[in-house]
Amino acid sequence: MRKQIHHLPNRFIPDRGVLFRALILILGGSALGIIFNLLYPKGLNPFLSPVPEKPGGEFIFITLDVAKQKLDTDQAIFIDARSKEEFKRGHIPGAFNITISDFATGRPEVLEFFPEDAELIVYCDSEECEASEQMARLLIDSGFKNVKIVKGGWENWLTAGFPVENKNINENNQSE
Amino acid sequence: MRKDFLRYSAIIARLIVGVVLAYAAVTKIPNPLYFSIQIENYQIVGREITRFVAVTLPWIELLVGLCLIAGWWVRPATLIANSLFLVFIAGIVSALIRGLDIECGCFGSGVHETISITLLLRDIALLGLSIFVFFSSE
Repeated sequence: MRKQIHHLPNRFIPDRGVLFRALILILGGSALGIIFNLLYPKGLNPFLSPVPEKPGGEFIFITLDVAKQKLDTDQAIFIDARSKEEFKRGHIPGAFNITISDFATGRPEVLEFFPEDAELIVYCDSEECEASEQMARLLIDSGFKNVKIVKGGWENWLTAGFPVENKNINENNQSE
Repeated sequence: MRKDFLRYSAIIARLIVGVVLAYAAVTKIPNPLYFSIQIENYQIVGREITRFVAVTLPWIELLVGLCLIAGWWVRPATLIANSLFLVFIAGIVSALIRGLDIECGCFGSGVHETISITLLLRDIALLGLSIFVFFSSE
């Protein structure tokens, strides 16, 4: 009888059984996700600290001058985390353009050519851009042990008058 | 007649929501790190939580999607789907208000969608379907 008369209002309120099953789905899904990620080589361990940190708790940033020095002595591989268009307009000589979305389908192939202990120096547009930090994290998660970020990014590199490579003009046209 | 129409509409709505959720899950599961960065771009929760969400959310979507496709536990599954869509809508609205030009992160590998009003409407439509399934299921 109750079912007949109060049928409609009842269905608007999830009863305990529904809430309980919903909870099972959430907990079950979470458990599957955690187990999968712990076993999967490309998985994220949710219990680890999210940022590969140095003792200060931040990424390793280097100044423009240090980056310039590394460029001059050919000590590091530069990674430009800006868009393909921005990269085409100009970039640090010899830099590789890898964008965050290049990781969408897994580890970008170009990384296979870099030894894991190579010094990778990442930069993006300016001091505020986040792409370089995200790129650094992706690279560290891909197994690279020596990843640094240029503080100031491309804008400040330009302002400083450091060498620029622009494939649309001649190679190394503006470099020293 | 009208009852039949409602019943079939509910089945179709259930399948649509189920397939969308399962597809979203399957494309995100292989690349949790990339997904975590997409969540991070919304700048709503901290990195610890972001990481946890990136690990668990696709699997919850998968279970819910499979339940909806199979027709098991439809009410609990739609209850979760409703909550998920509400959260997604809130996230997109807040990102649009702040003028963030970011990828949606709705689907994984290879699907690049920047957040927009269209995406917002899509999520609202999915929420509508999901609510409809919730109320039309026993």
